[in-house]
Amino acid sequence: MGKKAVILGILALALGLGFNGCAAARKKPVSETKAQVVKPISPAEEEKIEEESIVALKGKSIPLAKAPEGRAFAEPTAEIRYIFTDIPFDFDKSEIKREVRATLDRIASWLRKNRDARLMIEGHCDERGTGEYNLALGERRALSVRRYLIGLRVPSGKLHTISYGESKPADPGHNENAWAKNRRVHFLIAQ
Amino acid sequence: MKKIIIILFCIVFFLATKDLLPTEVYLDISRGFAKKIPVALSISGDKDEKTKKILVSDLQRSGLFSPLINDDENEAELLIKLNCSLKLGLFRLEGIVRNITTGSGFVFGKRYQGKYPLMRNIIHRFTNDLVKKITGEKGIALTKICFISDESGAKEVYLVDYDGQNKKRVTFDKIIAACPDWSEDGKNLVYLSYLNNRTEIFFHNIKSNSRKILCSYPGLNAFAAISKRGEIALTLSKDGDPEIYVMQKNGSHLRRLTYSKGIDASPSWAPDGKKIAFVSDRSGSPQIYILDLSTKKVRRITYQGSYNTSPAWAPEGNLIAYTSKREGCFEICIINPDNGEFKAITSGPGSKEDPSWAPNGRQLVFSKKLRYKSDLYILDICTEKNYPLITGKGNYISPAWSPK
Repeated sequence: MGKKAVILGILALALGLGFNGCAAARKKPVSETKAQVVKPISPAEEEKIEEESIVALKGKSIPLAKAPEGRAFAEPTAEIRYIFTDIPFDFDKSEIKREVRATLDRIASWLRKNRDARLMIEGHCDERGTGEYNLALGERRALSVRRYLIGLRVPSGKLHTISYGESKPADPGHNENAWAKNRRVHFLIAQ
Repeated sequence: MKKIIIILFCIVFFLATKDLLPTEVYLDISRGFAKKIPVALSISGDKDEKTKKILVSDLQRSGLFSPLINDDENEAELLIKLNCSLKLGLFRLEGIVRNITTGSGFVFGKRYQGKYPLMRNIIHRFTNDLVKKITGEKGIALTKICFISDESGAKEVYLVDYDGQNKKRVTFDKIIAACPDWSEDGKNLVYLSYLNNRTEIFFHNIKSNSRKILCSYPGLNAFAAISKRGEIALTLSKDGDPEIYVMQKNGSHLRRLTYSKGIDASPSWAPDGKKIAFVSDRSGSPQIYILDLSTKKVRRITYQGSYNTSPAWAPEGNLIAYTSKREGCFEICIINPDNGEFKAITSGPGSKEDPSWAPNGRQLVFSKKLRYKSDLYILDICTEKNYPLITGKGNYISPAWSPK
């Protein structure tokens, strides 16, 4: 398990550097310049991240941190929207699907790079479950994305969850297509 | 409205015990094993038509009586004689009930008086007194139902009388409110609101219309349910997983009760407050479980089907209502948690979900979704017949019946 975490970590870091390279070449927003002057992660912090990621990779729960007061979460800006695409789920499931791993890797590396940023992970469901249960299911979807990101060495304190159950569909339709779009985790960012 | 104080005058009639209807026989009726009691009505005085309409609705909704609207007194067992008067804004009602199968058996008589806007309330009181006299149980004619509706554009909390009258909006947050429930005294509501862009449990006093935030932990704060002793069970995800917790009504003494990986949600108290029914997906699909608070042991009770949610423990007796997916549709089922016997009590078109019991344990309110629109219905579990409570332009969901 430990080895796996390290490998994943290296992978995430490598990906992160890769993407940073691209972003820097295209444009250099103020926030990114700022991110680079942030002092390096202390060994103690690094150790905590390492420990948490091992716990997360074992599939165990990690307590949630309080969402920061006075910091508004918003839709990701145009430059980074391509990173934070919705994560789809199967009906009544909260397991991370194989095909979304690349997306989550991309998100993890961006978050590791932008150390001030906080992520709001919104869990949503389609309308076919019962209303109350969907509220719990949405939260579980958000938590499973959170756990996956912690496993990719994103500090748990940066990751917050909220569930909207079935009350905020992305597509108001009543068909398979709409339902598939609505069973999702959506992301907001506070930078 | 709240300034008006009802003045009730009760004339105590002297009753000969032998003239009373034998209570035990009628208790059987309340459990649904016998037919409804046919009742003849004789209503006179001011507002007699309106009075009759309200009384007939009350008698039908009690599930105990069948009012003989065409005055066919030959079939009647009971005769209700009401005399109404309306003078200077004051509504007076004098009611006398006789058992006409056993001679002129006097059952009870009472006089009521109040401001005219309280007319419905006065007739409901008369119905409750009649039910109490006949069955020994408390009537439900003065109960209310809280629910969520989006008819204003956003999901808000509403209240309505048990007969679908006096709909009143409680929240004006223009965001999302969800899963409302009652405090044990029926004076406060608890519900979830996204007012501060997170899930928080609000505790709302109905009379003063004042509220406070009861809990606001990181992550999910939902499904608050208050026991008869005033303890609150709820789901929190603050430890990284949705789990069941209990706390005091002021939010103190938080204790975690479940430790399973996955969802633990929708707690519902047993009437004695010693057990909690809840939903868990620990087996891979949502099923109903029971947690014994003294032993901390958890036991699964539903094994039929792959989607059983929203348990509601009956106020009396050992029965849990829940929502079960059957052939693509949701139906309301009831289960005896001791022997696992269960049956569906709804059928027909539409998806029925979210049952909540009337305090008499005889009726249930639930929401029915038909062609993507939800309305509230009441179901009599003895007759298994249902009738609408609220229908309209919006969706009506998450009903909870008041405890009193």
